[in-house]
Parts: sequence; C-alpha cells; structure tokens
Amino acid sequence: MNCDQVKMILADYLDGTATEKEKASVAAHLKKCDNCRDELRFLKKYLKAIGKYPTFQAPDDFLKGVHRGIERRQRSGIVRTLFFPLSVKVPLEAAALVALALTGVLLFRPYRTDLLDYGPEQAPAVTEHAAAPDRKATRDIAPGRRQALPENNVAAAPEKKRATRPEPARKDAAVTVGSRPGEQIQKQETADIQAAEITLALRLKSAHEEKAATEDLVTRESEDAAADSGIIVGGTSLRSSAAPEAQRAKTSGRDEQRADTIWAIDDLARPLGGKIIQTVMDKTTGAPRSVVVELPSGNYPAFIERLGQRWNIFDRSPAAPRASATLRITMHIQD
Amino acid sequence: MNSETKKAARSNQEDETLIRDFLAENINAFDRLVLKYQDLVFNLCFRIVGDYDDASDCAQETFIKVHANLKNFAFRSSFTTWLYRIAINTCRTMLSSSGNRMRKKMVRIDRPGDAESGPVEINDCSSDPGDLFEKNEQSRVIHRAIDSLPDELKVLVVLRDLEGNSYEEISEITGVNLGTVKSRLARARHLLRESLREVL
Repeated sequence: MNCDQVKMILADYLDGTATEKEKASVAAHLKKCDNCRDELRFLKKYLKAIGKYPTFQAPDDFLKGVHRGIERRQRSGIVRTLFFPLSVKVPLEAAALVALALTGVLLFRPYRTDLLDYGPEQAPAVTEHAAAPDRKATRDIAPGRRQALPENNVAAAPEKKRATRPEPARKDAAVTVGSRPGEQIQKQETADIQAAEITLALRLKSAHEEKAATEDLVTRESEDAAADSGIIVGGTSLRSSAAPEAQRAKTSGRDEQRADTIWAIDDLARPLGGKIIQTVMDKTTGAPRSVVVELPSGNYPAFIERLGQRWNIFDRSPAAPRASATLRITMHIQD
Repeated sequence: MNSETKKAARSNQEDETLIRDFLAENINAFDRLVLKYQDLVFNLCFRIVGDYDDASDCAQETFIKVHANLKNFAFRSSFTTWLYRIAINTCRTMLSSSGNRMRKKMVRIDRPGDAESGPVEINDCSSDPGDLFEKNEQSRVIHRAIDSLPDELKVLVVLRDLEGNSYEEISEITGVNLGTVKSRLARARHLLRESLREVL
C-alpha cells in the first residue's frame, strides 16, 4: 500500500470499520512511514475535537418562516408555472409567440398590395360582361360622382360573343405596376396574356378645344349615320356614352374634369366592348396617372376617335398596334 | 456528535406514517415533520454555509421544497436521505449565488495591517461564529477550517465527520460514487491538517 491508499482508509482504521486485511496493511505501512503516522495523530485529535463540535437549535420562529415561505410560493405559483425554469420555458414561450405572430401575418396578410388601394373609393369592378356593362358596379364605386348614367348603352347581343375573349387564353395575374414614388396600384385585374399593346400619352383638352372636337364629330355622324366605323359592338350612341354636354354640366372645373378621367375613359371603353383593367393614381394629388384599357382590336379606331374629343393624344408607341384579337391600351395622362 | 439526534430522527416507520398523513391532507403531519427534523437540517446547513442567517434561510427553503415535492416521494430511499439531498442542493445553490460569493470576497480582502490604505471597514452581515462558539475556541477554529474548504470537499467532510453518515449514504445523497467520496475525503482531511496544524 502506498501513502495515498493508506490515507484513504486511515479514518476507517481509526474507528475500526476497516477490514482485517486493510488493518494489517495500514499497520505495516505506518511502521515505516512518518508522514502517515503524523496523519494518523492528526486524525485522532481532529475526530476528538469534532466530537465536541456544538449542535445548535433552529431559530424559534423556524416553523412560522416555513409556513410563510410555503404561502409565498403558492401565491407565485402561476408565475412559476408559466416561466420557470427560465431556461426552458421562456425560449419555448417566445417561440410560440413568434409562431402565433407569423400565423396571424399569414392569415391576414397586412402587406397585400390590394390593401394599398388609393383613397376612399374602390376601383370599378370590371367584369367579363364586356358588351353588357354592369353600370350598377360603377354606381357603387362613387355614388356622388356621377349625376346621370346613360341607360341605353347596353350593347346588342350578336356582337357580344365576338368581343368576349375565350377563357383558355386568360390567366389571373396580379398586376404590380406603378412603382414610381407617389403612385399606388388601384386595382388588380385579370389580364390577357395574348393582347397586343399600345401606349398613349394624353393631355386633357381645354373647353374650347373639346367643344370644337365634339361639333366636328356630330357633323360627321349626321353625314354618314349608317356607317358603323368598324365598331364591333354596335348599338351604342356616341352622344349617350360620351355625352360632352352632360359632362360639361356636371364638371365645373378643371380639377373635377381630371378626377372624372377614369369614368370618362370607362364610358368610352365599355360601349366598345372594352374595360379598364388597371389604373394608377397619384398618391399626392389623387389624379389618375395611367389607365390601362383592354378592348377588341377592331374597336381601336373608334376608341381613339372618341378619346380625341376630350384629350390631345400627343404620343403613340408603337404608332399602330400589331394584329391581335385584343388590344391593351396604356394611357399616360399628363396635366 | 449529534448521533443521538440522528437516532431519534431516523425512525423511518414514523416518517412514513407522517408522510402518508400529509398526503391524506392532514395539516399537522407536515408541521410534525418540520419540528422533528428542523434542528438536523439547520445544523447541516449551518455547517455547510457557515452563517447562522443563511443556514436558517437554507433550512426553511429545504422544508418549503419538501412541502412542494413530498407528493412525489416514492419511498425508494429513506426520508432522511431525501431530506439531506434537498438540503445539500439548497446549500450549494446558496453558496454559488453571486451575493454569497461577493460577501465572502469582501471578508477575504480585509487586511487591517495595510499601512497605506489604512484599515478597511468590512460590512460583514453574517453572524459572528465567535458568538456561537463562545465556550469552544477549538470548535470555532475547526468551523473556520471546514468553511475554507472547497464546496465539494466541505459537503463531504460535514456529512462524514460531523453528521456521521456512512460512505454509502454520502454517495447516495451527493450522487458521487463511493471511491470518489473516499479519495475526496482523504484530500479534505489533508487540507484540514495543513490549516489546523497550529491548533491540533
């Protein structure tokens, strides 16, 4: 046995709990090891002194203190249940909170672009009834804006099918133009992926210019009343749809005219089997910046002619649309 | 040694009856358990944490934990072993707490003989062991020597030399295996021999 082994059982050797073999080994080692003999002498004195070590009584109010502690713990039981052990429950609860927040975000999607619609009014609900426009939807959008809606601009049935695009050629697309500062998308609509495109730049005519243009058109109509001008969707009175006198009566200023731009373009497009598929509004002024209309390509000349009554068209790109069943006209409106 | 106290305390039959009464919602059963073991637990805590007030807090906290967990006691070990284990863990938590460490540090930097800085006033909030060991200077010195041991050695010395537990019980209470208990005890006694050389 070496010294370390002896020291480990020296206390047992002293109190007699060591085995006979251990006792013999320790006795043999002690005869030749001064250090272990010193250790044994120390242990004898130490254990004797330890025997006199005093025993104390617990404080008098010990039991009351225990009762107070138990009551305190029971009061804070809910907090402990919720948060302790901190290292386990707090991360779990934080993760659950994040998951809950993510679920809420995914469910309600506050970032959806269609929630960024401009102003108090909603975009016109453009439907597939291209040749039979639903004017009720238009009335619902801004009841106070329009004083009178023409009743006889519902197109005749035979041409309606020609104006209606076939379903397989369509897809639902979320149109996200209008990334310039101050602009917001006013509506999302179904887009035709096969439509030809043309871009126009418009500026509203002055009252004088507009009157002259209207008179010129009326004169030409009376000269050739039977001519249909290649309009596919017939039966629509230009007077009733454009109604420049009515427009003038209800718009007293330039600003109001500008605000009525969308409705005026809608009036032009609907009788021709077209519809507004997208508008971009100026966030600051509320004025329309761009209006995109889809209509049958065959009605493009008539649309341009009617458009020219109120707007100066000073730019076209390309100069003429390519051949296609449907034409998408993007009109940038300038002040 | 307090072997008589331990003998009285280690009546497992009575403990089991009290525990079952407590589980049957006999309000007085727990109080009787506390009264039976309060001195044992208080002395154990005092010997480990070395401070009267801290020992009182630790002992009370031990019984609060016992109250909270007694319904989970499965009678696989004796109640006293279970009680010791809770008390030791409570004392370890107390010893490792930042406040306790800071207080010990404040006491240790007290060097009245430093001429340049002058005497340092230390606000030691612990009760003076001198009062408790008024009539036993040797025990006071031993108390300080044990208190200066590393925590893992101090617990073993208290359980073996002061509380009189067997190696097997110590192993069960502390969760340290038997061989390690013996070797650590030998090391602790060697350290005590160094610090008590002048006294013993």
